[in-house]
Amino acid sequence: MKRFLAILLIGALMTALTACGGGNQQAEENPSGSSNQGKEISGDLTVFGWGGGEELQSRKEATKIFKKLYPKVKVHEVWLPADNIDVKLDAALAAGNAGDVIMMSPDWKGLRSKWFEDLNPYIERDQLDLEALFTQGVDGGYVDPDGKREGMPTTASDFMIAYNKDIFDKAGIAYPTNDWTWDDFAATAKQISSGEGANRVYGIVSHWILQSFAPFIYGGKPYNEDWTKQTLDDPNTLKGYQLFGDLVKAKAMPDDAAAKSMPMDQMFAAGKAAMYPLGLFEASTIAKNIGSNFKWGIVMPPKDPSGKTVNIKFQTGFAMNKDSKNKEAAWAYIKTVSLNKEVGDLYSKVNLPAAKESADGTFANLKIEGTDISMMDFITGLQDATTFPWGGSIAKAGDLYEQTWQQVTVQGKSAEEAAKAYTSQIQSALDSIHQSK
Amino acid sequence: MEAYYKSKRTSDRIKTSLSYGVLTIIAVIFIFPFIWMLSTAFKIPSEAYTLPPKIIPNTFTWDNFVQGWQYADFTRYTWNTLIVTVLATLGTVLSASFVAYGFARFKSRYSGVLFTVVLATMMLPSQVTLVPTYLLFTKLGWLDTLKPLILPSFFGGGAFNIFLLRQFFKTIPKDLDEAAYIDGANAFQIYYKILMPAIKPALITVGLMSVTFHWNDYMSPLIYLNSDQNFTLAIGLQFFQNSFGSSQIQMLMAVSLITVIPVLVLFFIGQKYFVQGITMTGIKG
Repeated sequence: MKRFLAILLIGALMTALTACGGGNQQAEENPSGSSNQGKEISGDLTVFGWGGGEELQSRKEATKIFKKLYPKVKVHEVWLPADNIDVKLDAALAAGNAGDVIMMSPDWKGLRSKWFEDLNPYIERDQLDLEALFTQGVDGGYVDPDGKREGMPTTASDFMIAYNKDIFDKAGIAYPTNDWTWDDFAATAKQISSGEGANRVYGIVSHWILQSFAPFIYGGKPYNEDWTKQTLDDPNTLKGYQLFGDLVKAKAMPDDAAAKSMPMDQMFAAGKAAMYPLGLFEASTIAKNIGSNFKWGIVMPPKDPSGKTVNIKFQTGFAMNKDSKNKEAAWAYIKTVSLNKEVGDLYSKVNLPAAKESADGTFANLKIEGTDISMMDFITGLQDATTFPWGGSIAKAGDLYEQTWQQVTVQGKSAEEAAKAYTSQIQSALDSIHQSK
Repeated sequence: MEAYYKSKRTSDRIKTSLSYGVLTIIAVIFIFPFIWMLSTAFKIPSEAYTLPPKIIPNTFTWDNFVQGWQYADFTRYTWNTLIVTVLATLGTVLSASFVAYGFARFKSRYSGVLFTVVLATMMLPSQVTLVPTYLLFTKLGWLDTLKPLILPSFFGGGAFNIFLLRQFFKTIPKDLDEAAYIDGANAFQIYYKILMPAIKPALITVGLMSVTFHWNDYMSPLIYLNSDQNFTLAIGLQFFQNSFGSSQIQMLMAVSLITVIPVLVLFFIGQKYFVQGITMTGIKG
C-alpha cells in the first residue's frame, strides 16, 4: 500500500511539473483591420519592457495600436516590474533572448554598449525629420558622441517645484515665480521653516532628485561632455552642493534622521514641508494624496546665474537589439511607439509624449484634478533640462557622487572637504567606463 | 528570612514587569508595519498621508481590495505561487533531509571537505551564479516556465537547510540505527522509518522557512518568467509601482494583506515546532 502511495505521489509530482511548463506560446490576438503601411511587414517580434501602474498600461495599449497597424506581425510581449530589471536584462542580453525591441533610457547602461543597432540608417531611409517631429528636449542622450543612434524616445518627465500655498500664506511669504534663482530658493526655504521637533515644518523636502540638481544650480556640472573628466571640484559645482548642506544645517531641509522618518511625498502631502520637487511621473498620484488637505501650486525650478532654468529629465524610449531576427518589424514598432499620434495621445495620460503633435495638443490641454497646474510648464521645463546624470554606464561613478552628497548633507562636511575625498575615486570610475567599452 | 523572600519576590516581580514591558514595546514596534498595512488597505488615497497618522480611517472603503485584485490577474498569480511554494517546499524538505542524513551518518575521507564545500555555497552571492544558471535554464528550455523555481529545490535544498538538519540528525543516538540494522533494515529504511519521524520539528522548521521564502521570492520569478500567465504574487505586487517608485499604496496594501494571510496562518500553526526545531538544533548541535 505504501509503495503504491509512493508511486502515486511521484506520479502526481511529475504531472504537476509537466503542467508548470510551457504555456507561453499562446497565440497573440491579432485584431482585424488592415493598414497599407503595415501590410508588407510580418513575422515574430518580441517586445521587452517594464514599469507599473498606468505607465505600464499605456505601454501595453501602445502595443495594441502597433498590432492594429501591422496585423501580420505576431507580437510577443514581455512586461515586467521595474525593480531590479537591470539584473534580468543583463542575463537576457548575455543569453541572446532579450527581445527584438527593448525599453530604454539614455541614462541606462545598455547605451554606449555593444547591444543595440544604430538606428540612423532607418531614419535616413524613411526620411524622418526628427527635429520637427519630436517635442523639444525629449530626444537628448540617445545619440552617442560618435554619432550612433542607440534608441528613439517615447516619453519624458521633468520636474517642477510644488509649493503648499497654505504654508506660504501663513508665513506671509509671496509665492515663488518662474524667475526665481537658487539663492531665492534657499532664502525662501530657510524663511518659511518653522516649529521644532515633530512639529517642524521644513522649507523643502529631502527629495532624492535634489542630489542631481546640486551640481548644476550655479552653472557647474559633475563631469564633462564625453565622461572623461570629473568636474566635481569646479567651484560652481561645489557651491551647488554647499547650498543643500547649508539648508540642512539651517533645518530648512530634513536631516538624515528626519528624512528617514517618513517618505518625502508623504511629508509634503501631510503639510510638513512647504516645497517639493514634483516629477511629472508622480504629479497625479501626489495630487490624489493631497486631495483637499491644502491649496498648492507649481513653479519652474529656479534659474542658474546665467538665467537658465535648471531641470533634470528622465526619458524612456526603445532600442533595437542588434541580434534581432526581424529588424524591419522592430523598426516599425520603435517608430510607431515613438512618433504615432494615437500612441502619443495615449502616453499623454501618464507622461510627456515624444511626438510633438501629441505634446502640444493632448498633453498641453490636460488638467490635474483639483489643481491649476499647467502642463505647458512641463513642456517648457523639458527644453533645457539635463538628462538624469547618474544612471547607466555612469552608475558606478554616480554612487561616489551620492557619497559626496551624503558627506555634505548627512555628515555636515563642507562641499570642498567632501570633494577632496572623492574626486580621485570618481575620476577612476570614469576612466574605467572608457577602458571597459 | 521572611524579609529576604519578600524582597526577592518584589525584585522578581519588577524584573518580570520590566521584561514584559520591554517585550511589549518591541512587539508593538514590530507589529506596527502590519497595522499600518491593515489600516491603509481600508483608506481612501487622501487619508493615507495625513499627519498624525490615523489608524482607524475616517472613510472606510473596501474598494482597494476589489480594484487591487482586479488590477492584474491575481487569482492566476496566487495559483502559480501556490504550485511553486508547495512543490519547492516538498523538494527542499526531501532533498535537504536526504543529504543531511548522508553527512550525519556516513563517513568517508572526503566527508569533511564535501561538507565545507556545501557550506561554502552560502558565501557565494547569487549575482555570481545568475548568468550561468540563466543560460543553463535557457538551454534546457525552462525559461518562462515554473520549472526553474521548483526543480532546483530537489537537488540539495540549500546549504543552510542541510546544515540545520544534519545538526538535528546528530542529536539522535546512533544506537537506534544500529538496532534497526540488526533487525534487518537498510540505510534508506533507517532514514525513512526511524530518523525522519524523529526529526519532525526540524523538518517543519525547514518547511516553514521554505514556504516563506518561495511565497515571497521576487528575484527568481523576475529572472526566469516572462509571461503574465506564469507570474507569481511577488511579481504582481510590484506592478503597483511605476518606474520611479511611485505607487498606488492603498491597493498595494490591500492586495499585500490578502497575500500575507496564508503565510501568517501557516506560521501560527507551525510556530511551536519552529521554535522547538531551532532551539533543539542550537542546544544539542
